[in-house]
Amino acid sequence: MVEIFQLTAVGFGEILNGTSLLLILIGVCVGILGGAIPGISPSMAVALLLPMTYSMTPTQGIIMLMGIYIGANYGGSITAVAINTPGTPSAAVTSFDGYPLAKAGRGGEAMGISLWASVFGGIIGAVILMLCAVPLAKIALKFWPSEYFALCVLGLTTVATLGGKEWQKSLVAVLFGLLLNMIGLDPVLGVKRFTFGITALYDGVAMVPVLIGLFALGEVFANLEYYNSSEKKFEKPVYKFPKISYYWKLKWSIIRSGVVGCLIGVFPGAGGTIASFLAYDVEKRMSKHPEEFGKGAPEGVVAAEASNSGSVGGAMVPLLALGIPGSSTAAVLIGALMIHNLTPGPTLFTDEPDLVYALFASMFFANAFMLLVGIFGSKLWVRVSDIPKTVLYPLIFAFSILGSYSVKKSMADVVVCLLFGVIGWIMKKYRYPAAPVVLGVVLGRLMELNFSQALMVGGAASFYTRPLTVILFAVSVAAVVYPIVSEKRAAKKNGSAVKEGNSSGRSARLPR
Amino acid sequence: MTAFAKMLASLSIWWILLGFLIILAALFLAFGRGEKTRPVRGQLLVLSAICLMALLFFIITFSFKGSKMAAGATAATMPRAWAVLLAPVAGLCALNILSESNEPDAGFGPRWKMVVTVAAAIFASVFLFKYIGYYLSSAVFLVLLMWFMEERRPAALIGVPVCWVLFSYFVFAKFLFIALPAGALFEAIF
Repeated sequence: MVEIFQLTAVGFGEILNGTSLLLILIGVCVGILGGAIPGISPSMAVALLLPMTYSMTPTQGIIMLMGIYIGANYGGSITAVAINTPGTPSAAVTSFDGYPLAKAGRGGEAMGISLWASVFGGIIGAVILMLCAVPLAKIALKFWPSEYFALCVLGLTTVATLGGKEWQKSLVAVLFGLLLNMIGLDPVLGVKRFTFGITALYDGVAMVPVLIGLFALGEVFANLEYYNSSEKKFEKPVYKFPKISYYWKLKWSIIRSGVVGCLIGVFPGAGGTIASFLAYDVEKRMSKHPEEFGKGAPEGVVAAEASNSGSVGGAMVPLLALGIPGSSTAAVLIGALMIHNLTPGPTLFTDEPDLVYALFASMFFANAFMLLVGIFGSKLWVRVSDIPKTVLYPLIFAFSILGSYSVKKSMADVVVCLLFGVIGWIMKKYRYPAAPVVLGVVLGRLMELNFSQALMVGGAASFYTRPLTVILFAVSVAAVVYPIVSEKRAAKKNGSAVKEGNSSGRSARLPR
Repeated sequence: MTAFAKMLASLSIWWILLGFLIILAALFLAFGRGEKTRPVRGQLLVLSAICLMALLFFIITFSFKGSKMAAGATAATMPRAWAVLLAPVAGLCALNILSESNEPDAGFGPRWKMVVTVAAAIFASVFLFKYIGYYLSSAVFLVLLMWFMEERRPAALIGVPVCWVLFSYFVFAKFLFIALPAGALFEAIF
């Protein structure tokens, strides 16, 4: 432990110079900008800036890219809160409560929560990474594909609570997402599935266009249906950030979600999106007012953002210790290490301890810079909601088209985005939640891949003979059944209370 | 079953969509006749569309070729699993929709025609990328959309498309190196 602190101190010394700090700051700013633009994912932002690191030292290059990674994870929440357009997939969960808060005139509060939760979630992730990199990596190493599959099932069970009263619609929506994921080439055998002769569908339905379509276009279509031209502006949100004491009240939610995010981030492929869905579910279950989730609960924003930022630290664990990327952005970072002739993996800790601990230290600086940039920048970003609807809506359409095109430079993705915009509008109109569709799309491929791998490695028995798999399945079943049973019990209770009330009412009226 | 599955799999997407539309139109009429189904027709139609998709996928899985993995799993295993799982879930959902406690469909908003017009304008704009290029098409689309939304200030009608074109050119094309469609017209001219 003492050695870790000593080496981290060396890492801080390594980057305590003007150039390194400036590079981290630039990385954070570029990351926030990239994250805030729908269609530019953190991995895309890191990949685009990767060529710029050729001329830098490995440490400078990696810390700048790390700044982008951290900044982009937060940046996605800005547009998610302000205009209900998640800039990144993981920010979709932020919009569940962030946007209702902004709509209720508490935009500054939502922005402040997302910023502070991101910063402290990120710091929690960095601390956990620093202290537990090796033991956590060992745990992740022990996971078999059947355990990953069970983990995905657990992720899907969160939809049981996303739907509230209409949980059946949530389950239908998640299965719709999972079915969408079946389109394209089978990930193991390469069999063409449901492509109907369309070459663009061989790669499957791209997630980002689906996300932009469902969340951005669907929302704007729904708003247009009730559009009133005389109402030129949004109600002016309150931009004032809450006092520090306000955030202090949310400390346990931040810590819990940061830790959940970091732990989920450790598992390769899980990433910030699953982390934010799971942390949201955990917070909702632990909340005294779960009914407020989805309508503007501050804890909902905290869960999404702290876990999302915490997952960055988690994703770095398998990358640095094992050479396995914990997320798509981490995969790009592996490429960045390789172009500097560094081999990601356990040898990195022995061969390049300065770089590894400088990277740890840079995460603290990046989060500190993010706080400053967020405090001064959010007030500008949040003003997008001041723009008249006659300008904002056309710009959202234009942004969505451009964002969905820029992912793969594919017109097919634009068409997918538009189709899902219409689907999102219809789903919203008939109260089918869109978020479970996204969850199904996010987890579908990962589930299928791990299902196939589990069968190949241990046969069908691996799903019921491995204790951890069984435990995860059991928790998943409990996660679905518990809210349904408790809701029925509550309904029964209310029913009997109403009956009692009615009977007493009747008896009271009888004498008249 | 395999022959039918192969026939379905070989159809173009347009035939599939046409088939979907015909079935959904029939269901729309059928749901409109029942007293219980009429107020929740929209909710039932969305559910039916998802079930139809699952049924289509389930049938098409019988046309899949390819080797088997361990434990007899094939490329059809997961699609079938999700489609089969949807059956009981959809049943529960239908029961919930038809229950008395369920809220009826919300009617269409006063500007629903604008939604259809805007959606059509977006599709037209994207279609035109190929011919007049991204920049011109998106600028025209922005002006039209703002006009539909009753924006009449010349500064906004001119300024927004110009700023957007400049932004997309400098940020996406120049800085991020994302080549946006130039269009056949401009490719022929320049």
